[in-house]
Amino acid sequence: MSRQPRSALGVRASVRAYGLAVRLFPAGFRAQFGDELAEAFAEAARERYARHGLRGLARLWLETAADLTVHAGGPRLAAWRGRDPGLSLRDERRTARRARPVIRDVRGGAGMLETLRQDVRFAVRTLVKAPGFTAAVVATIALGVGATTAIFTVVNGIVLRPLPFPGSERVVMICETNPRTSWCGASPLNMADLARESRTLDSAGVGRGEPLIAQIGGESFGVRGGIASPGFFRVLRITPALGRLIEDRDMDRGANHVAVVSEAFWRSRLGADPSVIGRAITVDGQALTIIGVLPPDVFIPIYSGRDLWRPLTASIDNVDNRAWRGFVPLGRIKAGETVASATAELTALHEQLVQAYPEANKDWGLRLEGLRNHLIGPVSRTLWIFLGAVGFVLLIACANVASLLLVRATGRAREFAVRASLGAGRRRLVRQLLTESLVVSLLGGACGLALAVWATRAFVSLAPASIPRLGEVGIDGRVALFAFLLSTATAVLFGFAPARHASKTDLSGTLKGLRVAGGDARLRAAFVVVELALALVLLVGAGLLMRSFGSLLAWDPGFSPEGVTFSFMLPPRDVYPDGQAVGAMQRVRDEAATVPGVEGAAIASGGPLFPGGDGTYAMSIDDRPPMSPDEGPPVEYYNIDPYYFRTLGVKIVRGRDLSTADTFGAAPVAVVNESLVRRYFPNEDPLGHRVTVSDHSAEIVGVVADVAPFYPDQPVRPLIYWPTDQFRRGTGYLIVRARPGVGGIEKAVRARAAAVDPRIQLSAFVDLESAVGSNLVGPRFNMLLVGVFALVAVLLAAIGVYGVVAYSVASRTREIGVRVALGATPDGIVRQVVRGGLGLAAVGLVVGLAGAVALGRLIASLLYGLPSTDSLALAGAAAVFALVTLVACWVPARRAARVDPIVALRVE
Amino acid sequence: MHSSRDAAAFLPLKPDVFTILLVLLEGDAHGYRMIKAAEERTGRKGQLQPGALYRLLKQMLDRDLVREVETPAGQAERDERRRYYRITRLGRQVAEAEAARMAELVSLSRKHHLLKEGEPA
Repeated sequence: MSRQPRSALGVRASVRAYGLAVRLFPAGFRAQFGDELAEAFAEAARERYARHGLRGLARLWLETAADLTVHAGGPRLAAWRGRDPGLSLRDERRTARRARPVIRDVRGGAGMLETLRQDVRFAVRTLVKAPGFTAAVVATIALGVGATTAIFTVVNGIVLRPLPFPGSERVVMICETNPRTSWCGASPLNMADLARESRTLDSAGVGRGEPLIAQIGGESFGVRGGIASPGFFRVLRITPALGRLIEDRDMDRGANHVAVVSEAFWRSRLGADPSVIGRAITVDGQALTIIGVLPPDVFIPIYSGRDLWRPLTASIDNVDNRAWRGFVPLGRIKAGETVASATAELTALHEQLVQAYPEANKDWGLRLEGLRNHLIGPVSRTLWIFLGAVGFVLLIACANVASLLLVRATGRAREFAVRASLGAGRRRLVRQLLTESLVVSLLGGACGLALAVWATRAFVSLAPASIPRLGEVGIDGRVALFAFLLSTATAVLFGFAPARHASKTDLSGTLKGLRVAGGDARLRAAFVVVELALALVLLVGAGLLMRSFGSLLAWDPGFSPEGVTFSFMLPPRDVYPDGQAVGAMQRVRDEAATVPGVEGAAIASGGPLFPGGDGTYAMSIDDRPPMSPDEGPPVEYYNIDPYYFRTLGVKIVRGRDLSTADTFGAAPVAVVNESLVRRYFPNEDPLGHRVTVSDHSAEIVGVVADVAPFYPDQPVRPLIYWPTDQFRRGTGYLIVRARPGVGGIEKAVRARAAAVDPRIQLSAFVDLESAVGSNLVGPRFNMLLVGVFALVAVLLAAIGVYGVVAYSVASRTREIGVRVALGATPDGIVRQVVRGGLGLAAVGLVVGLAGAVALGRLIASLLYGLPSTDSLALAGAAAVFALVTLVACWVPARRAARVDPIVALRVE
Repeated sequence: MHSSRDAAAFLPLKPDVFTILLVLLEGDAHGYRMIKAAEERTGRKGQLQPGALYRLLKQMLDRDLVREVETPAGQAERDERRRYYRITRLGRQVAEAEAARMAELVSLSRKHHLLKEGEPA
């Protein structure tokens, strides 16, 4: 395809779709000719497009659908029936025909394949003769199949396909559990012991992300790095692109000054130097030797995109190291062992570790979870919801198609009656109609597949980055098979009822010109009720997501986020040991505050919508004993400077703010939030009481307003703020509030920080408003996707209602004419027709609302605390629904009212 | 060695098969070339679709009417997915037999004045 790099999207999508359609041919044939088939089609597609544009492509696809049906379907059918005579080179058809009577007996005579060929040829001819009908059906099926296939592609790529490394299904997370934690982590020392003792594990290891600062050639820059034990890479079966990975010999103190870098880092920072192994690089002030380069497409769960890995060295002697569980623990189960057997063995081993190291391991248990499940579990639910929603759209599309087929079959009742009276059997007629719907469905399916290629790309580019494995999403054989089965099933399931129906028409009645429509009308009415009910369920879903999104948009933290930016500050540990980092950060803050346009600057260990803060249950008040976990929610604590509340705009509601007098050595003080007061001092004044957390005890001197959490379903946590000077840490956020509209703040602040000490690292500045925005990406995406589905569903259902009502008006023209002649008013006629349509709508409404309430629980996880029976969403959806159906009924009703009795009675 | 009786067993040929043989008489060709030839011969787009063509080619390969040959020099870098086919001796005999059959029909038609004298068949 390199010859025409600029060929149009339609051609590329067609070629891609045909490449998948080639799979319909039997395997042996495909192996022999598959590539050539695709190449020949590609040539034809390019030529047709060049000469006739999209019309040429459409025509080609119509021919191709017939070609595939006969030449891919035929041999498969024959093989299935156990006899494949192959394709004759002799012109048997022509010789045979000569001997046949003028009116052929289509029931006997011709073989199965020959009949199929005739049916297909006839179907193509009839479809070409009715371009409007064909286009409507193909477009509807393409829409349904395309959307469903696109979402299936995403589900397939993320949920169904195994993770992209060998034997990934045997890799588990080995989580140490505690009633108070929900996240999965493990202590490196415990893991090392487990890995050594276990007979069910092939390998195990831990890893953790760490921000690092690297220096190359005088330039100093932040690196997203990580520390890992050798087993971490062994579990993932990573083979280095250059050199070697971290091994056991790198774990000893003194030998651990080594680093493995990513391929991207090797390219961007090390000039893709093939002799880079052995080169030294300065990281966090230490010289490390580069021992390996990771492969370009390496898969590292949770810490993807990390650029530099160092060996994790934790001294066995220090009990704190054993209690430190902030690591991702991976294990690979040996072939032949199961998760259950590994769980049993590891739990027993872990129990021994609890006995051996009670101070670090008391109250901790063990749980194994498949890695894939751990990574995609939360997302897979959302994706299945999407697939369900789009499945509804498909069903509605199918019901419309069935409705169209039914109308068409009814319109051709005369043709069938003639054919039947000339000797065509009922089965033959049904087969003919089914072939027609098969050809048209396959064509729609092919267009749908092309649409899916495009829609999948759109999904991947619009989806929030928090969805894992998005890069792996793509159309493969399973997806093509899915689309093919979907279109075939559509054809058979939804073509069968109309076909059967048409074949049953009363011969003499039809030939005499009498209409027999009772059964049709009931069937179509049933289709419409189903469509309406499904559409309403989607409408309610979209309404709920919209409401939920609205509540996120309305987030009011209690202060204006406008102009607030933050950056993570990291003074080098070796230059500023212990408490000295606080002083350095304060100097940076003071410099930042004097930048023109800056209204305030502060330091904090965390804050609303930026990560940080520590949680604990071990808080005690005054001299009371520490609380147990079941006494309340965890208490969070931040350390902040005296400018924090002022800079953000959080109100002090009682007592005083922290002040510059609250220095190291002065009496320890704390400020708490209203939630903490409500929870622990419901009826007393908190001022003057003491709170103690991890041996740090302080007097409460003030109470501040709560900052509402971003997600409304989350409670406001009780919170303690300590002064940075009294609760010292080596890092913190620099928070800057600038006057709205002032630019260049980041550059100016960085310059000031560099003037204080160029070795102090500042991460990229993030403004609070865009942090809000990035938290809205996921919910907005959910809302838009389901909203689009609902919109399409409602449109299709409206078309369905319109079709039924319009058809009933058209078939009752005579009756309406008589009524008008007998004195019925136009208003009366409109009312009568609309009433008929709304009757259907009412049934659809009841069924749909019941369905929406029943299915509502499924999307509760996307609603952030909004109940799935939210009355506003239900009422809104019902209102939109009523309006749309009313319009869909009213348009044909108006036409009915304009019926001229004279014309109407002359029709027959 | 095939006798002319072998060739006669294939008659009458499907028009598309005859077309493929005619194209190959002009020289080795790839699949799309045959599709184009069928279109030119009948003046109809989509006369021969890839699925139909390759099923016929498979039969013709199996019956030894054509065989696959190496891609001609100079064409190889264009696209390695393309394969070229050459007519076999039997294929040539079959084409000759079909031509003879048609010629017989033509002369018969002339005799009954369906065609004017000298008009190309």
